[in-house]
Amino acid sequence: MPVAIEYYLGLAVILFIIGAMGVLLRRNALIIFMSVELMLNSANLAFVAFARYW
Amino acid sequence: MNIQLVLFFVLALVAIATALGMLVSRNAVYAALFLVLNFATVAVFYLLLDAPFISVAQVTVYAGAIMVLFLFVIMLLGGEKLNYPSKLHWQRPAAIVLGVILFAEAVVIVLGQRGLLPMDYPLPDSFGSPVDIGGNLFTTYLLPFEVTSVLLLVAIVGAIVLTKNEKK
Repeated sequence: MPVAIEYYLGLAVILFIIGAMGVLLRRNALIIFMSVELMLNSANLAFVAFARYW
Repeated sequence: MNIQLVLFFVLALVAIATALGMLVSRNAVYAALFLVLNFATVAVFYLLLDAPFISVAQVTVYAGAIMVLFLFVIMLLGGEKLNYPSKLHWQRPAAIVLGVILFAEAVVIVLGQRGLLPMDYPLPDSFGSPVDIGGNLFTTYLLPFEVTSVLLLVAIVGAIVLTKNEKK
């Protein structure tokens, strides 16, 4: 029995929220860009999880 | 408690810790290195999800090329110190409130769709193999692939146009 998809979705949600907080909290353009990369990565993780379990 | 679940939770802890480390670190180089570690753990998640090609692409493209470019820019421009104070005093509380609202929305949506989430499903042998991905990319999804290549071309042309010195 592999890991349930809810766990991957929860992890993707948490990483996305951290990235969004980075965009909202930090004032440096490079850090904001890195936070955007983190949000893109969490969306990719959700995509791959859906592709695996659908 | 099987081995995959243990691996998932350990790696999830590392991923969240490195993301938080990127969020709070006062030095841009440390933030970039935290993000490299985060990308590496996400690559292992892709391996756990039977997607070896995407996992290797994640390591080479994200953790390799993009983050090395970031570190190069940070060190070249000397922008690693980040401790100047914010002029907007309401920014931090507003950001925290908005983040909590976003988190609550995501939790409500994920838990609300719980019954509709897909179950585990026996996979075909070729799932996620480079042969399978290449075949799909150049037959079924040829049009999105070509549109993406045009998008990248637009980005290249835009970068060249923006960096060109304008004659005064």
